[in-house]
Amino acid sequence: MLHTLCSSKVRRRLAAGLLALAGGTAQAVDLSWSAFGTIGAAVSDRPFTYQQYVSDRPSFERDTVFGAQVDAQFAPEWSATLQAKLAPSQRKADRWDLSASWAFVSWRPSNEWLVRVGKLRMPFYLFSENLDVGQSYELARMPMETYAIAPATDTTGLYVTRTWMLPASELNLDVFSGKARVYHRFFMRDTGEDFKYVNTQLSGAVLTWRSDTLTLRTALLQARSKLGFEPGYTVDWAPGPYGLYMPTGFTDRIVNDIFTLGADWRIGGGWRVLAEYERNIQHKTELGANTYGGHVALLKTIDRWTPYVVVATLKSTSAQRKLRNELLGVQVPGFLPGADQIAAGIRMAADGIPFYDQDSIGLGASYALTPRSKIKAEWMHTHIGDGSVMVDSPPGGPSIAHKSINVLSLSYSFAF
Amino acid sequence: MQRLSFLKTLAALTVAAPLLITGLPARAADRIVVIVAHAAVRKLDAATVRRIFTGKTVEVDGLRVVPVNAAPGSGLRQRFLADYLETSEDDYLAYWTVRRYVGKGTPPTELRQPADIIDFVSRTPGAIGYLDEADVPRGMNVVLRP
Repeated sequence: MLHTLCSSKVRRRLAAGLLALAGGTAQAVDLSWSAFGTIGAAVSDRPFTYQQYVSDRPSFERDTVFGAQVDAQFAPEWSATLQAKLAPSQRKADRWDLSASWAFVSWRPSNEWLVRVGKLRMPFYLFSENLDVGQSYELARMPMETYAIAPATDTTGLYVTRTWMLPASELNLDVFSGKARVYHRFFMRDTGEDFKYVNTQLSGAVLTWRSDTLTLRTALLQARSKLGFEPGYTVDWAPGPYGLYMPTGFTDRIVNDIFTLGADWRIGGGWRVLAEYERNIQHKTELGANTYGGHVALLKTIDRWTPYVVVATLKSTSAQRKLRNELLGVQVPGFLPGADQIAAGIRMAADGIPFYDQDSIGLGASYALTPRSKIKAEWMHTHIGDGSVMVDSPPGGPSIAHKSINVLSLSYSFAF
Repeated sequence: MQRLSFLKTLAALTVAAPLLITGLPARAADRIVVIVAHAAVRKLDAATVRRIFTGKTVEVDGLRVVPVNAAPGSGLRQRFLADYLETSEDDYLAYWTVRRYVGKGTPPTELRQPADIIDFVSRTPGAIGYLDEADVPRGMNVVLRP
């Protein structure tokens, strides 16, 4: 597909551009520095942990992030961007990591084409690329019911953007392919949290139409993941003797197809609507994140204030719900040797299913202190249905279900 | 004496009348912002200017363009943003904040004084800036008037 998009004219320009870049490095480089950050606190009314960090003990780790970016213009058509980020680690608990979140070279040969090579973030949701820059949007955080499903992953690869300028709007097609080592946090009631990685090949396309008042986006992404741990994902569980369930096999490779739709509509009079929908279809295993969800937010800007209301939902498919409920309902006969271990194994199997059944409604507001800084406050009420892996169920007890969580968030964000 | 005072008051009111009616300083009405460019740049339309200063257009007729902005907060810049981009300083900053952090470029170079803009535009191929019409030197390439 990329080959089709890159015409011979573009290839000639690329060759000429590379020559220009070689010459340009001897000339002055135009450097542009910028920085962003969010200091955020969140607290809930529940003792158990939600979204890895939020409980009834206030946490700064859920939303706090600092970053700096340098853009270097080597030649009119060539530039490079490096972004460093300091944030709670995605690989270990109770640790912060300083990482190079973006490092890419851009080639902009014409109004129509933009080619980027390196590590950056795919434009998957409406706010994927600038998700870390809280100052650039009004919500305290974009709803996890949408944004947690295909994590905003920084991917190393090739990104090609084709732009069509229309009379009063523009159309962008982004095509990308790259690799990422994606860390996942697993939480089991019996063993606690663990961090594991998968090596993922991501390929996809995003079509975005923009006018002054309306942005529409649709994206299709395929993620082919190879697991870095043994024995891998269980393919499925099947009923066995004594009412027990047995794994039907294991796989070290899974495939997800993720589809999104998004709309950002500035209605007028300060009113704005944000809406996004996602569908995540998992292949190769019946136990992966097979979900659908999304959110709708209504915002009203009044001078420096932007109050908003947001509703969001995230559900796993009924097949997953049925299997998980069956596993949670297994009663291991006490006369079986190692009954406790068998029960623990089945419990872990149930906890290991990335199952989601939750609905949220939130009220919040942002206040622009300056054009470059905002404070935000939000109350989010989430109802957990049959369960959600965003919640850490306490050890020894039943899986958290049919409970509500109220989360208060307060943050200060800046970008300059 | 009383008649002289009356005449002075009348004269002051005559001068102030446009201010009272329009609410603007008398000189502001004359401050028309024009788009100036390096000699090689042809005439532009308003839509193209808008795309250049929002980073969406980087070349015109095969010529690489180099936009230059006046300093943030300056009256010249605010008039340009209002007249040509139909936006405010805050919204323009917000636009470029997002554009920078989606990895699609950085805002145009900013220069403090009109003289700096004149110098930059005159010597930089493809450069495009803006000036109050009264500040445009003779012979400068004006590519768009409102």
